[in-house]
Amino acid sequence: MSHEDSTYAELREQADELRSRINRFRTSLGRYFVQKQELIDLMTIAAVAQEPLLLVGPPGTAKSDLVLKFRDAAGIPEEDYFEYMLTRFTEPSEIVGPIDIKELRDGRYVRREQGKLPTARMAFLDEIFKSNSAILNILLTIINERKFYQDGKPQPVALRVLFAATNEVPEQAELSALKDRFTLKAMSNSVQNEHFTALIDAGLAGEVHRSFNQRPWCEGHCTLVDFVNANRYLTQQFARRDPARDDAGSADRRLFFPDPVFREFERLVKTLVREDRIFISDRKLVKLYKLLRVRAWLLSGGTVSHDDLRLLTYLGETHQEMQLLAEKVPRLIGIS
Amino acid sequence: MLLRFPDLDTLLLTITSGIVPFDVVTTAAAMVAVAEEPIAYWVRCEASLSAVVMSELRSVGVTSPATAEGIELRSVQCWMEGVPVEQVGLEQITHSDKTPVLFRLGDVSKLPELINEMLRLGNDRQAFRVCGEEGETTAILRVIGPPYYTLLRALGNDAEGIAAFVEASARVWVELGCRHPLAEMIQPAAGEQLLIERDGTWRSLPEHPFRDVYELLTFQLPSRPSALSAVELRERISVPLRLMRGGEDQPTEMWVLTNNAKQQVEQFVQTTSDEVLTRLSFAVAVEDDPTILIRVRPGRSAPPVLVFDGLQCRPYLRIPNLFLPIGHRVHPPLRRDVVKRMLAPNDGQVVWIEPRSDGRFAPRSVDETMLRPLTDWVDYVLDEHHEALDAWRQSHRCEFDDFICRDDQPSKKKRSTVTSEPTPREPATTSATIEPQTERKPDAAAKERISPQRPRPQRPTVPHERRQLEEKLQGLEVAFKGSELPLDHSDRFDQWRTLADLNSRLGRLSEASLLRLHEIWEADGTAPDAVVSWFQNELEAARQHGAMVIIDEQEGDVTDLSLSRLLSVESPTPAEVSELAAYLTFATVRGSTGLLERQRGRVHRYFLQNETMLSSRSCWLSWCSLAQMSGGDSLALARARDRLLARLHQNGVIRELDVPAFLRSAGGKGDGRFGVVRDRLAALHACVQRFARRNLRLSSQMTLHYIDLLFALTAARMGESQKCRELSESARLALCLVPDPVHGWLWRAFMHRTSQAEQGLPVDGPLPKSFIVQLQGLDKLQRYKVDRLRQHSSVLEPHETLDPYRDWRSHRIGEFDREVTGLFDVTNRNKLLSSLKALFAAPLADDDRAKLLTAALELSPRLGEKFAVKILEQVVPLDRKLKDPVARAGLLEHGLEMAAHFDQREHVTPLLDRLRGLLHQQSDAEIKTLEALECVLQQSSRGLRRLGMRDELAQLLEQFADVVNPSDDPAMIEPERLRVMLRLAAGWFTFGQNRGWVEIDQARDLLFSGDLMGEGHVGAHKQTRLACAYIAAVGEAPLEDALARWEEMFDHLNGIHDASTVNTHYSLKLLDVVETLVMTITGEGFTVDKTTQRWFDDEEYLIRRRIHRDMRRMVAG
Repeated sequence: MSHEDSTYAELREQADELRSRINRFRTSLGRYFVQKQELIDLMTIAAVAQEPLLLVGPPGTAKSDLVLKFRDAAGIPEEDYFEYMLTRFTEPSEIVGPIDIKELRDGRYVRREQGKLPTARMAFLDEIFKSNSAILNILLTIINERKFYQDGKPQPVALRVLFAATNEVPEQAELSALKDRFTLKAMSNSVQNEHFTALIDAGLAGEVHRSFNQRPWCEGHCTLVDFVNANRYLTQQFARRDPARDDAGSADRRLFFPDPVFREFERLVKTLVREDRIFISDRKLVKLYKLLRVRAWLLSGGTVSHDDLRLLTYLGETHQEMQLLAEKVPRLIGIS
Repeated sequence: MLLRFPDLDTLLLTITSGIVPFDVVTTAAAMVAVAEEPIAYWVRCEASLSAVVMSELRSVGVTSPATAEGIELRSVQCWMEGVPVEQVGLEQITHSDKTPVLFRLGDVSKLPELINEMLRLGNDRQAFRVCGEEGETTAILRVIGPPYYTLLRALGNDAEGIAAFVEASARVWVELGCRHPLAEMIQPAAGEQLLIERDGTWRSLPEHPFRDVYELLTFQLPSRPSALSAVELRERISVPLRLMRGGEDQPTEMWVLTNNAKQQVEQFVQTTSDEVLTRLSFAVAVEDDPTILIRVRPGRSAPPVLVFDGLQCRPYLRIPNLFLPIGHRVHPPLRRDVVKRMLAPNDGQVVWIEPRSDGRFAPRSVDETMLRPLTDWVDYVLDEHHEALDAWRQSHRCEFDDFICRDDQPSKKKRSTVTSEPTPREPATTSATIEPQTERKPDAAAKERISPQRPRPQRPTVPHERRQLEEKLQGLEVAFKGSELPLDHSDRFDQWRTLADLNSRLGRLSEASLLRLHEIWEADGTAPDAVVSWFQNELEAARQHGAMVIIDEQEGDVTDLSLSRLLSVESPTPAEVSELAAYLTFATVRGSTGLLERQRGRVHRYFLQNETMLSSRSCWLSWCSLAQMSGGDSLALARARDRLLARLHQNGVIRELDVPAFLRSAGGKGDGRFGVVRDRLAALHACVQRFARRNLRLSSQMTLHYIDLLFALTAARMGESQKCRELSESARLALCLVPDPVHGWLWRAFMHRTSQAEQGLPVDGPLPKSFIVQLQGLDKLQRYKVDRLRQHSSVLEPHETLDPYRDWRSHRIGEFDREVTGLFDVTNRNKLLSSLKALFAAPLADDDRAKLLTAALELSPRLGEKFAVKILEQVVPLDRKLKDPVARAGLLEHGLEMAAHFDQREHVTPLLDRLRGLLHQQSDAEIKTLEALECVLQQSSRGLRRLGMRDELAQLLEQFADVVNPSDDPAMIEPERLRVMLRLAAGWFTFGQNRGWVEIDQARDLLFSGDLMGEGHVGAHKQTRLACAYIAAVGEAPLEDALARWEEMFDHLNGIHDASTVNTHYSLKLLDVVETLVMTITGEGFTVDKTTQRWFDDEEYLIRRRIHRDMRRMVAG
């Protein structure tokens, strides 16, 4: 049976096992990096929530390596994976496939999408903000609507997991729409100051693995199917109704988001918006709720806790905001 | 009594306006708001209201119903309590970090959480109290400026049980997010605070002290016996230094040979070129077995790679006298000064580290002076030496007296002395016994009294010995010239000294003096021992030349009388002036200037009159000594500086006076060049005459005689006096026998320059004043014809450019232009200065100011450094405002030249930047701009070389090359662009690069094609300018190429026709071409090769540098 067709009951039965596998996956993957567990957790949460994640950081801070190992560890086959480094000169055909000349002769404007972003289930777009406006428009549609236009007709894309990376977060207004699509933006920082020795050791081990073409991180703890099933399970949870009440949202919140934590979440958002002018769009707020729920499920298996609110650390739109939030959010919620 | 207020506004009005009496309003009542439309307010008060009050109440719409059926009234303390609070939106809530806020916590257990949250968020301005209220306890927390995050706990959510209040008026607190209309008018009872809650409830809070959260700031612990106490270490920790691996990538700069050291070196020198040997110095340290050190001498290129069986070392931490084995470093890493203090504290010793086992090592050292050039120890010998020839020479050797050449001295005039008893000159064979200083001695030695009883210099007595010395000297000279070290490098210092010693021993005294001066010049200080040697050389040279000697032979030292006698000579010889200059510096160094001070005025005048006989170095040292003697007379020194700089500006270094003989021709080729040019001069003259006849057309035949005059000048510069006289005489017969003042004046002017050349003087300086006066007596047209040639001829007017049209245009040009042009005719310095000041003071447009500034820059050498600096400061700001590239180019060109001249390095960089900027904008420049750029290139090239900025010059050339980059089709290149390209080609030749032949060939093709001749007068003008540029560019090429090209050009060149007004007397264009040739041949760059030219440039730069440095030191006190 296709995972897309699993019922809630079936998924609920598998849920604990599912959760356990995904957790093994993330903790196991963390062993191959130095001080990147937080990012791996985020990547896992984003993968389960099927929300795109943006990794920001200077060159050489393991952004690409994280994604590649994540893909390997999740056992995503070549045909389901698409990776590209974007530049100002990247053309849409490089991302969504070239125009099919045969079809064009017949008057149909169709792209040969095989092996490109529309057919990939996991994608990694490096230097995403360096792309030109033609690419940006395509990406916006794919990320937001999970659609891709072929000959003017929308068709769904297979994309489930999207990671993007950038060295710098641009501040141009034209890119704000794309930035807003990435609810979470995480900094990948250099760790050599705090973990000098560990970095050398891990780096050396990585070199050895690369030289001998070894991939010890492919431990088969979970697959992309597990992420999809987890997402489906949680989505179905969100959709559940409280027989006593008629509003779906309130049911989930009542069950999984305790009032004190929810109030704190509200206070936190309001404070960040008012004091630091952090832009949190309504869309992002809703997605944030979903991500909080996913985190809570994944890490504790239950209700959203005070600790889950640290997810708000990754709401920054600029370098300054990211640094500010990294310091302020934990201080506000008292978990620093 | 029951009252009904129709709305809130009426209720507030009756309260605030006093319609309802105060005592009624402030008494307890029962009130309620009834949800009608609008909301009505019912009040039941116990007090009865008077009829007047009721009447007034009625007049504002208040009614008095009999009953309030169905309406439940709430008891209030006063009517104000019944007034409802208004809700305020979240966004309207404002608070700052100074706003006091009261938190009321229904649940006291939440107090610590709240306090700690605010402490975590950085707020510690908190105090609290807990008060009981009808059996329940409430916590009140007062916070100054609470965080917004915490305030949000109290906003809009009752679940927390926390309410926050802000102070609306004194002691009245209204809940956050609410507003009470009368809050500011309420005055709580004494000792109480009022809290108005969101639902309108009033709570009285008795005033009571709050407890600060940090009531206890310090926690004094009871004293306990400490387990640990501080003790002094009895012994310092000793850390033995070790050698560790490191620094493998550095090249070896020193080898320590211990195994078969001698054999290794012998084998090495037998197979290695002398070029490599000159890079090495070595020392032999004898212990049990000889240890030989071979060290690479500092140089621009990388150390040579040598293969020795020995310890390879490299300098460590840039400490020049500390060497560590390659691949090792000292561990633990220490600061450079610590390493130096521990391992190589003595700069006079070269220390190397000899590794032992386990990283241990032993420092070894030799004295720095033991390291000598390796070439000193290598004699290249012939198996079959010239022994037979020597024997033959020996047998036929004729013993002549020393021959003294006086050709380079001014003709001796009758000399007289003011002393009543003239003293005869000491004969050359006088028993002067001053010992040459071959070794450097401490300062004390310099102060020794110079004694005539000292032995004579150890001259070689046998020819064999002399030959050996000569060979050694020759070898050193070759090594000196072969070394790439700059002239001011510290290694050169020793070379100067050794060369001076050898020359002194060989009796080449003037050369020895010159070398001593170089030694003194480059020493950081006055180099006392070198000064002593210099003075000794000069004394001996004076004796050799039969000049008056400053030392009183009877007294054995300088006396008042002997000094006075020397100062009294009216026309002293160069040897006497040099002798006094050396004595002046010597006495200053020795600190015994008493004699000189007594006759200070005379000495001052003496040098003022005779300083031109001195070399630049000698002259400057004399003036420095005089300034020092006068207690720091910086003004006199500044004037001397200006004179010397002007001399350098006009003449550059005077080779015979300033440059050692062996440097005047690099590799001995320079003299060969000179000879070749001299031999070919006659042929070239004939060739040029043929060319001139071919191109004369309408121009006067007299042109041919002016060409003769130009070649006469060339012959004079080449020392061909006979040829010079012949040409001058033939020109005189032609030019002076016709009654034409123009020819007469020009002949005299040319002859003045020729005479300068014949006397060995620089062909320079303004023409004599009498000539100018005579010129002013000519009529306007005649004067124009003279001035036109003066304008073009750099023989007649080497430095300043005059405007021959100034008389003609005087009615057309404005007052300002006339005044600027007239500046060049002003010969009085003060008058010139005041004229310039007056012009600068007037308000001027930018273009006019640029003209004035350019003229002022051109005149700056006559007005001194101070003036020049002021002017230079204005160049860049003005350049920023200018738009015309030609004006900008002129301004920058003169700015660069003057910045170079006055050593204003800080101005050079911005000027270069501006120039680069200008060039950058000229990618498709107009012809006029290209011409201006050509001038800039010419001037900046010389200026930058003088400043020692060859790299910058190279960059500039590259940038010029980019700018004038022609189109793909060579036929499309304009002649003006080609001229700039030719100038570039000349620049490349200066750098020894043959990059310019393509351009030269293009120019040649264009010149010979006759394409330009079709353009009439304009074409002739272009042809002339291009021919001039071609001649100048070819002149920088190798000699044989240059001569061949010139002869070819003069055989084939046509189209140099002059149709201007002056062709009645001469063809200006032909003279332009010929003068370019003459100036190129006699110019500084032609008869010397590029290497020698570079020596001259470096010499001038070093002279200028020290002059400016000394001057700055003097001014700084």
